[in-house]
Amino acid sequence: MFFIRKLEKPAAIIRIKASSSVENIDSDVLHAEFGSKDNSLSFWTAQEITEIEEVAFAIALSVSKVDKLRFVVFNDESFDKTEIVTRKTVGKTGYRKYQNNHIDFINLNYERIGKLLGLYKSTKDPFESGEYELSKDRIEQKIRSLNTDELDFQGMNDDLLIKVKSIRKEK
Amino acid sequence: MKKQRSNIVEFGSELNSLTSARFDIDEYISFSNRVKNSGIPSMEFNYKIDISQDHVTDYQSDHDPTNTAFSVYSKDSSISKFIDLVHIFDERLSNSGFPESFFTIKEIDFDYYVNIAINVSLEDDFVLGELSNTERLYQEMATDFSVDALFRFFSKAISTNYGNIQFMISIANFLSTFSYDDAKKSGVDVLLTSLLPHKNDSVIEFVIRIFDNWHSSESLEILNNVKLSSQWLNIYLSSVIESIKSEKLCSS
Repeated sequence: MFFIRKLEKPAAIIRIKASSSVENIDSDVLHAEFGSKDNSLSFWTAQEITEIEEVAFAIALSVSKVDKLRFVVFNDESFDKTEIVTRKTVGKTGYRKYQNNHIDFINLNYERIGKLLGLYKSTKDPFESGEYELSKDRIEQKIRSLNTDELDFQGMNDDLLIKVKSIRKEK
Repeated sequence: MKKQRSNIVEFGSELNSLTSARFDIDEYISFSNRVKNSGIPSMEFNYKIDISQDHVTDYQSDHDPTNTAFSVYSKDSSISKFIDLVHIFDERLSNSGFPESFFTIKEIDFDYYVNIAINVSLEDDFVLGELSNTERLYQEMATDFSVDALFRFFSKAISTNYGNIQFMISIANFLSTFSYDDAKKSGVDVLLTSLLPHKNDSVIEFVIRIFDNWHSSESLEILNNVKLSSQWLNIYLSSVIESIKSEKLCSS
């Protein structure tokens, strides 16, 4: 199983991996990428490597605009070593099939965030770079290709919904 | 970017304002012939006509009445004289057969929009995939300005507010949504290179992102000749260059 989370800034992973150590990761990165709510961070799961792209699309349909996105990805073996507790929650996404692929990392604290940072810094499985990306064109292509019953329009952000409808009108 | 169904004539000055006259034309008309027939001597107003809509390359042969924009610029630096020019232009075009209802004149105050954008940008986080408040503002402006006028606004905004980090990121963030072709026609690709030596790493990060989004092999000429001071920024830049090169190889 793999864990996936959208990156907030374009070069987040690069910046983390370029740091000489976890302790030297810039605080701006911590602020941007690890801004928790109720000591929780939102992640998504993919059972197989072949499912990663589909889950990434689900995340792309959970945001407010169609844009090139980057994701951090790591496997459950690496994650288990962090001993971070997780809780399954329903994900708010317009891609119906993957609404149950959402998971929260909960009870986060300084130590656990540090372990997560270490995971971000070292992750190479399944992608050597530690990240996955979806181009804007690819996302638009996917939006056009999905059948209406595969989409949950009510699960979409209002701004995204307008854009999705506009993209689908073009097909 | 979608355009409203109207023809926008803009009288741009080198000073602080862009004055636009917007008028609707229901059928395609040869604009320059009408201007000639209206008797406006070109030397008097010192204008040039640009077609700012990207798909209209030769407006005499390729017409789309729902989506054509014209821009008229004057080098006259006096805004009051500009207003006079607009009214005279207005009147002459009215006399050549355009109904009066076609014309509305609006003055767009550059300083006003800059101040609003600066204030709005203070609260923005500029997160991937999320519509920022400045993006909403610029999208609204895009319904009033032509693409060309909007780029001129950004050009002037960058040169006069270079040190305002949030504002610069807001512009770079918004420009990443444009196609490379649109940006290149207006010289925005070159304009953005002026942000590459910025001392703030986040500004540079967002500029590199624009080139990443464009993914155009033409931008390699610029990117291959950039040297940045931060190690991580250089790694990011190299990864974008490699990505563009590999796409170029695949498509050749």
